[in-house]
Amino acid sequence: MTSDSELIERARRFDLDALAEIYDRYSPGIYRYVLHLLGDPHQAEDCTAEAFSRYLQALYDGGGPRDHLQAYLYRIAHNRVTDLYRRQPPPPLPLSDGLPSSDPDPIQIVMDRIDKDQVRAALAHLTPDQRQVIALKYLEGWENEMIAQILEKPVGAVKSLQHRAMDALRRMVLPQKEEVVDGNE
Amino acid sequence: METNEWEDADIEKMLDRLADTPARDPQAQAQGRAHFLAQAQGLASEVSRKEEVRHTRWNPNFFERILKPMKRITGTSALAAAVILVVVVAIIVAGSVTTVSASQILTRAIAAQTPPAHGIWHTRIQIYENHAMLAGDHPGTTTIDEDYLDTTKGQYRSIIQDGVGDITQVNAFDGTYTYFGLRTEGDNGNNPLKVERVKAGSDQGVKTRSMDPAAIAKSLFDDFLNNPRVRVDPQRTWTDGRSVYILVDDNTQNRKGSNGTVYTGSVRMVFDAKTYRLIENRTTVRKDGQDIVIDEAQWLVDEVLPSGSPVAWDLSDLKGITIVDGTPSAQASPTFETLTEQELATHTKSFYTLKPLPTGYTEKITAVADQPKDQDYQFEINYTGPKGETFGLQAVGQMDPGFVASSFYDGSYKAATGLVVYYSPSHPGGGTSAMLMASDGNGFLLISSLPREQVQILVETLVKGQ
Repeated sequence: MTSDSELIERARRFDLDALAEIYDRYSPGIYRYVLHLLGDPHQAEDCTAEAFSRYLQALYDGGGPRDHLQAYLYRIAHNRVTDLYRRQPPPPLPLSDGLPSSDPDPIQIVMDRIDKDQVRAALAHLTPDQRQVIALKYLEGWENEMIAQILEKPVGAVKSLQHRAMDALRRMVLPQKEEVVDGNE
Repeated sequence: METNEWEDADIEKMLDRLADTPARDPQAQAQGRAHFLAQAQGLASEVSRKEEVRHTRWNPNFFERILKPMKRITGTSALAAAVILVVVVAIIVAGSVTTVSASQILTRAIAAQTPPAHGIWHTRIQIYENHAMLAGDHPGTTTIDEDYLDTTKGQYRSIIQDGVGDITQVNAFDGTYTYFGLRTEGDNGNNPLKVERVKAGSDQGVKTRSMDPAAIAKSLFDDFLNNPRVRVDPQRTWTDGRSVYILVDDNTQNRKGSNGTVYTGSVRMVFDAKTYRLIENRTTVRKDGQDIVIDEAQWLVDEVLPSGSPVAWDLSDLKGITIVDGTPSAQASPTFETLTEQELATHTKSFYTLKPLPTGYTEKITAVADQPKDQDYQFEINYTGPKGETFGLQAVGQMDPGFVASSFYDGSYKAATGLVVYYSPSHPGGGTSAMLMASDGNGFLLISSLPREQVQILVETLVKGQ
């Protein structure tokens, strides 16, 4: 398989074979990533096309990445997703129906209540960086080091974003536990 | 803490549900790929043209622009030379015999074109062009190219003026900004030339410093060097008294006139005998008993200025230009406009529309506003049918047949009008992705929700714009 660095160099010369290989190598992942976040195949195709089109424009202007091509493309796609989120107000969060179920399996309780759209609605309420960390880590299965490349942030910052995102998701989607007040306090 | 971990596991399982997504539609993927590659092909051809005048800036003015016509003409004869021979011609000077070969002269000349390691290379070249082979007193056009190049710092400045002194092209890099301005056809020069200033990339200076004009010179002189018919002319003194070497290639050039007649002529290169720098080259053809000059370049100035010599790299000394700050197009958001067919026809004649418009169909023509006049006009024509079916054509300019053959290989269909549809792989019974090729080499990316059979029916009704 051709190395990324060789593909990047050939692409900068508008070598069409290299560009085709780049598309074949990275467009499926970009598409899947966007689809996870948006849930709409048409929008996912549009975002994927937009990411690759912007890459070509960057090459045309003498720019474009000299390394980390995959991170570059994901960054463009993510920015496009963020734009779409901004244009559409976040969908309302699912309403809790009150008391926790008596079902002994709490996971099943959550599964029963929240469908995919509701999960996406929760993701829409995260900040763009938090959303990207969650999507890349839990939907794409990426390591923090790779995510750090895409966000152009230190790994520590990625972990911090992940922590805050999980806190936010926990508050939004998990049933609220009744606080037990110790009468002695 | 334990609670959080337990809850995080819940969230992860919840997110896992999102990871389960349907497979990507192969047809949509194929269409996306075809669109991307067509866009790449279109930009590649633009980059190629842009490179000629924009990015390499300095070199074309000096070697390629001046010597390309000569190279084009001599190319045929050079290719025909099966054996590389160099004719050694004895030159008799003042009673002594000095033997200098054409190859020796050219080899030394190639080395002599190397820019100075220090200082600023300054050249002023007068160029005369008469490609129509008109007879008479200088019926062609004359331009002056003035170039400065500091290969140490990477700065350059190239100005081209027409015969009356109006600036027609500007290229420069002042160390921070690049400058580019090109007078387009139809602009009579009454208005100041607009020069776009753009913050240069961090590697712009490196690009300039990495230029190797000697290598370019070598490639351009190679035809002469390897041409057995090249001879050294006995004339050794130039019009200004300098000692020179003159190399001539006679009767080997072919040039076809507008009436189809093929004319032959000669190419002459004149080198300073001390410095081996090129001081003139001239191409002539023999027509109606006269030698008619069709290309001529004369080096009026060829000097090396001391490092630090004052040169207005930022063009601040130029009259007749207006410098405007440009925005790299990647950062700019293009504005789209909707056009009528008549309006589109004012920009390009290379478009096709459905005639008559099928019942219930609507037509929409879209283009990016304010497109550069020196580039192919980019536009889309999209049709929507009464049931929401779509049929769209996106202009992608001149297409390389090899690219079309390799990327749109899933069969083809030729309409009675001569238009050819080359299909990209897609699902039978689904939509269609294809490249529509006109006989003039212009391509149009065709994307439709209709199956191929219906696309072909529509293609048969495409009529060239008027």
